[in-house]
Amino acid sequence: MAEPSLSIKGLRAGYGSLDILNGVDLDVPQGQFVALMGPNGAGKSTLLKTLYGMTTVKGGSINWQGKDIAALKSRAILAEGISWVPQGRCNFPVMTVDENLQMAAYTLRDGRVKAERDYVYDLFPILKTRRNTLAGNMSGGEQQLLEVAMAVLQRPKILLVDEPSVGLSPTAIGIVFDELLRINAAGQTILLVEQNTKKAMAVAQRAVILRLGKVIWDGRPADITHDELGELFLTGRMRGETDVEH
Amino acid sequence: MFYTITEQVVNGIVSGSVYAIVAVGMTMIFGVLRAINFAHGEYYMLGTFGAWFAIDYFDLPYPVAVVIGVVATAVIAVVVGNFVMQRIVGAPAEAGVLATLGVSLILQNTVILFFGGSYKFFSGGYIEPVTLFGFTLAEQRILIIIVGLIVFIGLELMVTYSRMGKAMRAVSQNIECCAVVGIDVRHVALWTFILGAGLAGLSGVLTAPVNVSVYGGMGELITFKTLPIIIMGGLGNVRGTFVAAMILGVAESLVATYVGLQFRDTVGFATLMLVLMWRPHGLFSAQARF
Repeated sequence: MAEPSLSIKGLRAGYGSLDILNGVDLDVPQGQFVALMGPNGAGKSTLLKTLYGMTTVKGGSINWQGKDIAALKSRAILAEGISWVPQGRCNFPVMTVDENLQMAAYTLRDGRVKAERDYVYDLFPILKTRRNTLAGNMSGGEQQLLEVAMAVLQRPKILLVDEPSVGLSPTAIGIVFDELLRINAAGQTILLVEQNTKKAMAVAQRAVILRLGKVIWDGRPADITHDELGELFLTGRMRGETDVEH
Repeated sequence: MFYTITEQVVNGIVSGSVYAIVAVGMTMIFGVLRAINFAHGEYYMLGTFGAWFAIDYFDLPYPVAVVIGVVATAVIAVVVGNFVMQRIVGAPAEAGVLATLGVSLILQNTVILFFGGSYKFFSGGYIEPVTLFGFTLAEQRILIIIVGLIVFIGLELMVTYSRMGKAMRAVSQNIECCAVVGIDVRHVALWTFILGAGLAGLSGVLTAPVNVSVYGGMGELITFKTLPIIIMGGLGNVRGTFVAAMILGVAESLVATYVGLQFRDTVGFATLMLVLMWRPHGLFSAQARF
């Protein structure tokens, strides 16, 4: 296994005085497709937000390629090669696909904007066909693809994707996940948060289960059944285990 | 009869252009900051005072006075923008109301403190009458219409093609998403505010030769006329604001002629009430933004 490019140790973070993450330990090596799962309130989305500098870090460290980024602001984190696709709709609805991609390239120098936009169009040809369509007039699946494309445009070294399946039809979910698999196969490291556990387990190389702000299980999706997963979500331990951690 | 109506409509378009230049800034500031700028009329007043000062104290020609008025307004907007407006980003709505009302009082009274509360006479501008298509109109009024058009075409081009213009639209459409893609919202808010205040200043300098009198409290009426315009235009909608400003300008002019001059300043809110009864979201969708 390659050196971890992202190494999180004892991370505690939350909103204001409220702590959501209570000591998260997680290493993500380059090129891996990791699915973060867990019941509601486990801190999955909060972990992604914290990695992107959107919460208050109370303790622990986030080491990214040899640098502690726990105190950095979002814009600096973006410049370090971390991109985030938040949950729900996150585009500019009354701007065209092309303009949305230009906004995604806002932090880049002028010369690179066009090049990176063309790179994204090569990656997602469907967006090229809709380049002059207003983002808000596209289907949910297309908008989700646009949002992934907006994050990928920065050529991130790791892509944080928060629940891309929310509000999408089964067909659209299939398309979005296929695209995620495809860019991962091309070397893109992905940290995915997903409620649709079946789908997440099918695409990810590694499953990490969070509960009450801590990692309680970490392994290959093939090593855990859906029943066991459900058990973990509900009780925080596997059948037969007796230790009470929380 | 026909002649009078047409003449009043043309006069209405002139006032409409003045309102439009002021209101477009206010609506863009709302789009980006999600705050009504209750001090907006004060920048109109500052522009006028800047130009009046240049003409009265230094005997400078009107075009130079225009530049001085607008630049002075923009400089004050940089200060207010840094100390007040940027801090409104993400703050609750009441913070914007209180802060801008406070700024309004401070600007107005500072001007009165320095220049006194009396009415001043604005002597610049092109007030010679010219005859066009059978109408007699002051040159300045023609200038106002032309500048109004240039401002709108310029703004359309800016928000469509420039990086900052597109960022202004982006902030007005989805402020959370701006953080995700790395758009500096505070920076965009500052520039939107400086632009909006500068335009209000420009509008003030352009109207001064027609209105003639200059005084510290002159901005208040402008703020309260701009308010119904931006609501009718669909808050944050630039094209809607332009149309709404024209409607108000023409309606005021007709009411002043055929109903009575004393009713002129009530037209704005009366029109607003009628429009909102018919279309509660304003004449134009706030979704259209700019």
